[in-house]
Amino acid sequence: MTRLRWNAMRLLDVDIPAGSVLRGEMCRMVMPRSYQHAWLQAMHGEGVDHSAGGVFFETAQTTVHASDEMFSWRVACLLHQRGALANLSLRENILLPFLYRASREDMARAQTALPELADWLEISGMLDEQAGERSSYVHALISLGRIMLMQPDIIVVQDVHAGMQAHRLDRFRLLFGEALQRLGVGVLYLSCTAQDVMGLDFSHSLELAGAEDVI
Amino acid sequence: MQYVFEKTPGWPARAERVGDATLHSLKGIADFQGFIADIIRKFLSFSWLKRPAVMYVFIRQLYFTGIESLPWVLMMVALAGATAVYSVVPFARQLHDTSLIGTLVNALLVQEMTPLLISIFLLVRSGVAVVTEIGNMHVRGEDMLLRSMGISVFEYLFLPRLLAFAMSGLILTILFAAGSVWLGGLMLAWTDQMTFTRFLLDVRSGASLDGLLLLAAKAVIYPLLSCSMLLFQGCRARCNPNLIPVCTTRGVLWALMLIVCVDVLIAVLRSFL
Repeated sequence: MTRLRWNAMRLLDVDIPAGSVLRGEMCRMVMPRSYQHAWLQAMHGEGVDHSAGGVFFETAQTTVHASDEMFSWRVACLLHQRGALANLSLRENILLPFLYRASREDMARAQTALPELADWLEISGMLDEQAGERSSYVHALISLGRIMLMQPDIIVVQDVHAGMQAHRLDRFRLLFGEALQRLGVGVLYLSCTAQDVMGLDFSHSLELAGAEDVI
Repeated sequence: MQYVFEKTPGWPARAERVGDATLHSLKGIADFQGFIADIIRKFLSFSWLKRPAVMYVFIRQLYFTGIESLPWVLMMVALAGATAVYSVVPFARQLHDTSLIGTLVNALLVQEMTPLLISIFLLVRSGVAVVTEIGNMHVRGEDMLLRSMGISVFEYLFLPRLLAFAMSGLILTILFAAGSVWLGGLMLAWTDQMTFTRFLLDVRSGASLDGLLLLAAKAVIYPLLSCSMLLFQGCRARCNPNLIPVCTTRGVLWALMLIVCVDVLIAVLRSFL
């Protein structure tokens, strides 16, 4: 059983019940952006007492805590408007986890797969451009490209659709759906809205902190 | 008595303000110490050595901080050489002891001026860029992106910048000291005040191994301290873009204060040893 599991925790002023997302399953948490940030911070082990709880990646053999480097390889993130570092090229941004991790085999595999992946994402022509300021759509594409190369078990998506133009959103929805099919991953979608903009079939949805009522 | 009674209500408020300011400063110092401790811990783990991404950032920073600074440093070398001619030599002549030239050039130009000048130059040229860049990265949430990829902010963002500052400081200081002495000698010879060889021999006689080691230590420590302070202040911008200029100003001022304080501390310690 491969899953992302979290213990009950207090997030700003709300209590989050313990829960989990299995590989291949799609779940959603509806909460305002500030709570999403707090959740992501907690997920990466910031301000959380590890002995008291936290977020874990579990398989039948191992349990990996969120603060572990391996966690981020098994649980990848697709963050809203945060897919790229501005001072790196798009290519470097996509390959960044591989450049950091320093596994020659993984790096070679990622470099070989990148051209085809860039064609699929339709960003081949701008791979060597500096990221700088980009639209939500390009940030999402860079994150998606990175995730395709990392091949995680779970993806945590933070409001990635927000701020995309309608035609871009349609295109991204297609790409994202295809990526999920190829990877067979589990998805935890953090959203500000209870509407299912991405057309995902969520097995369960949790609404917190008054969601859309909170500005 | 009535006068005292009228004045007292303001005092608790003032005392509270002083207390708050003191606590705020102490907390800042404690945070900075924690920041330095985290950086030292990461440095000593040496895991950064085997990460290509960290090395790429280091090389870029070294290019920006060290290589691109060279024209400016060369310009300063010429000016410092002129200082040797127009300040130190006339001063030694006033004392009717030209044998002091070597000692004075070593003590003032090489030992004191060079590390301070280079550190302040790095602070002004690259330091401002560092604190602005780190502040902007925080505002754009790029630190969160790095954490989501399992990338240590200390390893990827801070260590390469610190190492580049230290290495650039050392190289530029050596270049500056050697260049300004050499150019000073040439200018003295050109103005017929002293032969080039005599000047170099005088400077050499005033130099010592301790002094050179201290120069190297200052050349590394000052840029490290200033860069640490700048990185620390850059992180304090958090999600507020309006805080970036505030943090930049604060970072530059505190870094300058740190450099001067450590310089004074070294001078005091040397006087006791």
